[in-house]
Amino acid sequence: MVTRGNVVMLCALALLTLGVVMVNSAGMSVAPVGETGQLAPGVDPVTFQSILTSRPSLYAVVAVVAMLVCGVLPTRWLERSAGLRPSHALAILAAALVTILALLLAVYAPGVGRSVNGAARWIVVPIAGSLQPSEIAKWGMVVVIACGAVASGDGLRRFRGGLPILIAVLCLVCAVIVVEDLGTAVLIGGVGVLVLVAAGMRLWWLLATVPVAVAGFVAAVLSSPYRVDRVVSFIDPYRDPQGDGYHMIQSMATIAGGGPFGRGLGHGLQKFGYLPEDTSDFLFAVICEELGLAGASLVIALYGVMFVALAGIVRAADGPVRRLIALGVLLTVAGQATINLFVVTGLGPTKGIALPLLSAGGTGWVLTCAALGLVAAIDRDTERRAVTLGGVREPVAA
Amino acid sequence: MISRTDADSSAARSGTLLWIALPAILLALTVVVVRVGWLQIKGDPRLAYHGAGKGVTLVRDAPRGDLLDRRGRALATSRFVYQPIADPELIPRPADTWIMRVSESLDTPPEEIGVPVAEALAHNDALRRSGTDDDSGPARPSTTWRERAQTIIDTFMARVNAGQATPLQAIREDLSVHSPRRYLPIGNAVDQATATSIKEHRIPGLFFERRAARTTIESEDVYGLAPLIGKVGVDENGRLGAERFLHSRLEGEPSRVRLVRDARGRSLWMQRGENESGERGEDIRLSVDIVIQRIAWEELWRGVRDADAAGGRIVVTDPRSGELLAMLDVVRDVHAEAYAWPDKEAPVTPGERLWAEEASSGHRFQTILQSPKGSEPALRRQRCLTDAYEPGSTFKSFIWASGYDMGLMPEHETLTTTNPYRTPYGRLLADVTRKTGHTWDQVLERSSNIGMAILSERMSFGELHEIVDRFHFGERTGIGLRNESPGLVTPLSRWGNYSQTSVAIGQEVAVTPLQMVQAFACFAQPRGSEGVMPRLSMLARRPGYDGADLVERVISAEAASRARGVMVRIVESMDAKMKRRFPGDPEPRYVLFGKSGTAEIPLIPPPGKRRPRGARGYYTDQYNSSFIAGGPYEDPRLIVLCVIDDPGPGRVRQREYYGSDVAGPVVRRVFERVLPYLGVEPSPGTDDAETGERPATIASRAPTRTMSETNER
Repeated sequence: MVTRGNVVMLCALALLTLGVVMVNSAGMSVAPVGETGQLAPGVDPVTFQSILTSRPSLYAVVAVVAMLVCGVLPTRWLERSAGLRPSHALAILAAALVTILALLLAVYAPGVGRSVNGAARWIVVPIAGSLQPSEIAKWGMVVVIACGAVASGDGLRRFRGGLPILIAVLCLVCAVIVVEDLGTAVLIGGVGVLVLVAAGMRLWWLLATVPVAVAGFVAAVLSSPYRVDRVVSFIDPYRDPQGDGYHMIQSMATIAGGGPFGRGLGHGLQKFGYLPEDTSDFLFAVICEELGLAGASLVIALYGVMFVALAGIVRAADGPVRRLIALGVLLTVAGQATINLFVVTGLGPTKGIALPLLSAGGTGWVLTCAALGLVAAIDRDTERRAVTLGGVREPVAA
Repeated sequence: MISRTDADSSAARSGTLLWIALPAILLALTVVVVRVGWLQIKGDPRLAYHGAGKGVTLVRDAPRGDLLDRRGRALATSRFVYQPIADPELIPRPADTWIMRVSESLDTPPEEIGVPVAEALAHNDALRRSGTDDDSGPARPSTTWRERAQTIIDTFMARVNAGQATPLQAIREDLSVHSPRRYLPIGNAVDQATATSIKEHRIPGLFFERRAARTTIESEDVYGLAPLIGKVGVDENGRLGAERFLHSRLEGEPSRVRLVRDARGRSLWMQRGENESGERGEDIRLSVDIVIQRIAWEELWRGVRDADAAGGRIVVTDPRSGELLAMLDVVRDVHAEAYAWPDKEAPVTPGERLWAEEASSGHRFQTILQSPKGSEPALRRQRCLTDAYEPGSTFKSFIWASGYDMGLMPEHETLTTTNPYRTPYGRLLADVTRKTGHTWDQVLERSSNIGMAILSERMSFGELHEIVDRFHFGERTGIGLRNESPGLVTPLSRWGNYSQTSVAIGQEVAVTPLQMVQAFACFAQPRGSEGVMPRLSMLARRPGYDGADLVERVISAEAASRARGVMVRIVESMDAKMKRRFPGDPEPRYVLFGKSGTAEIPLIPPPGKRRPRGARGYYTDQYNSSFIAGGPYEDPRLIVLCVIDDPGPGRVRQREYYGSDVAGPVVRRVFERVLPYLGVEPSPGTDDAETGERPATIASRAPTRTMSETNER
């Protein structure tokens, strides 16, 4: 029987496989050919073997392993946070916060941090290469907020309970991230607040924070000229087609060039220097160009099926911590995918946010798969408990 | 510690949140699919514009077909040249040294290189400055919060008010204005060897672009063929003459390869299904023969100079196929005054009337309308095509033969009218000849105006008008060249007694030389086809062409044969005069038949002008003298028409301005040179013929023999 967790993992595997293929396709470049038609020394053509041995394939293997490992982890221990004393919970929260902040600030440390295209988002890791602390913060905050919210118990409903602490933690993390990556900060903040609402935070408190959040967002935009450019270019990308509007126009032109069935795998044109960030943020445009509307629909369908399965796991999850974690994972993946898809299709302002499981990025793939594996593990434990208690299991797929 | 109730509450809240979030997420995904479909299927032309630059179509011109004369000799051919192109962005600064280097290499004055290069460099520099100074181009974000917010609001409101974002036209203009100039043709095109030599110097920013260039054979303006051959533009499109008329067949099909390029301009691959192999344009043989054209050129110039004429025209055709073998129009500088045409709206003044009376004698005016577009040979008017003239007596042959067909010329009738003769409606006509008592054959032979007037009196207006129509006077020959004149024929509604008489003697009708040779061909058909008229063609006919699809009968074979026979005696008379004037000329070897014509030149005001009050309808003592002939008599192979425009005053004073005086010798000499070139044996009975008889003997016998043959039929 195929459980919801299995569906999630299968969808993730399918997206990941497609991601490996498309990242390799989008990463094609032009190699000089000699008069005899031979490639220059040291230049290897793209072959099936080269794809299998490529760095994205390696990341994908690591991601699948992480998903499988997390998928077999016992999740009952997560519920122990509900029984922690507030002082212990606070200590664990503080430790997690310090760790996350340390990682986030490490990008500015000489010799540790690494800048790409002027953005300091990476830290150097021996052997693994580099990783994105904001990715760790994104998933870490889901767990921290879920555990913290449950540990706060009734305090979450009192303004002077644990809520202010959680909000403060959320704001602090977001404030650090927003310097380099507003999109991820908005995603983490939004997911954190929604998890808090699900955990018991009163809704009107959320509504009360909306003006503050909007004001903060507006301030973040207006404080940065390049963000103003992005908003303006979203409203009218053709106003400066060679400048601020370039990303959006090229992305839409890439999609438009695909047609119903695409130009064919590997036959995209825009990836050859016209479409920026073609292997990462704008990979979906390359999919649309090479695989057409059919390929795009397949990707969307895989996401849709995965989200429905995740929602089922959230509903059935046994225990508030696991439920909130599953909810956080769902909202994070769905939010990230939606933002990326909106940006790529010109429905939202340009934002450097990756498409989960597809866009190139070792850290993103590994941590997303790990998170989805954890949710699958939650589903497995839920199923086992249901069987143990003699409950009725609902098959989700035949 | 969390209680059971709290856990239930958390589950309920999560469930509620999912009820909201999941549909929202799925809706968002659906919106994305719809958006992708919209972009891919409906699209936006602005996106197509931005996506169109990914490929480049390499067009390799196919050579344009050659224009050949009827024997395959090249008249216009294509070759490839190399146009120097500068990329100002790659020119080292300061550019002075570069300009001097390129100037020396291309052997071009430095200013011709320097001026456009300096302009392009200034444009590009200004563009760069504007990009950094923020004083043009797309608006940059402002520096204060308030201004930034205002920028967003303004853009949003502009979008809302305009209904859509910046239109494509504005994008194009913006890109053109804000793009640096990187393609600058400089100097003249050079040949391949020169281009290769210059390339070896590796001058930065200098490239060569291969282009096709048309070369017209340069030989005395191809003996006046330039207006017929025409001209191509820099884009190799036919603009004038045969180049224009035959463009669709001459132009090659260029090969096209669509290459996909990356953003750095490196070629990636060829687009599937977008490779087209090219094909050279068709080589086309025109009907003209460059040797015949040269002969016509030499003899016409000789005739024009002999006659001290202002110009001359000559057309040579093959009467069987209607092929145009030569066509030439020359204009000579003579001491002639410009006629003082008053403006159309100008009031009549007493001085004008006096001037018109005074100008009616002793003046030689410019009678040939000058070509307006300068000295470019291909731009000159080809007057055989564009300028109609009064044919005078040459026109009588058509009326005479038609009258014969109508039975209006009894075999044994002799016209015993006085000279001059007053028509029933009171018009006084005179013949040049002093002889009286003409038979109908003699009416044509002596070119009797009186006889033709009497003939016209026996026809109705409609019948005479129909004869003119039947020979296609008043309509273009459709040879394919632009600006062909249809001539001038008085419409039947305005036809009267005066027209009836005038047209019968070749007045009140204007024809082009082309119309004349086309019509005259009916007298020059081989046995069995006499009386049919072919359509003229400037293309060489296919081998074995019988012309059946392009001929029509205009008179009976009997009438054509009889007229041909009578016209032999006209040429004989012309030959006798010619022998007196040019005793050194060799004896004629071919028996010809022909007709001369002399007509006053009408005063036709140019556009916007009018004829002065008190002026006659014609220039005084200024004539168009023409002679049209076919030959050899026994099996015609050529028709030659020569028009001598405005023979000089000296010739007029000596009364040697008639067609048989000034145009006839030209026609005779052309026949005597062209027929041997065509391999035509001399006529029987001439000095060169095997019979050893004198040509005059044969010529004298010819019509008699023809008439007896006619009578036998």
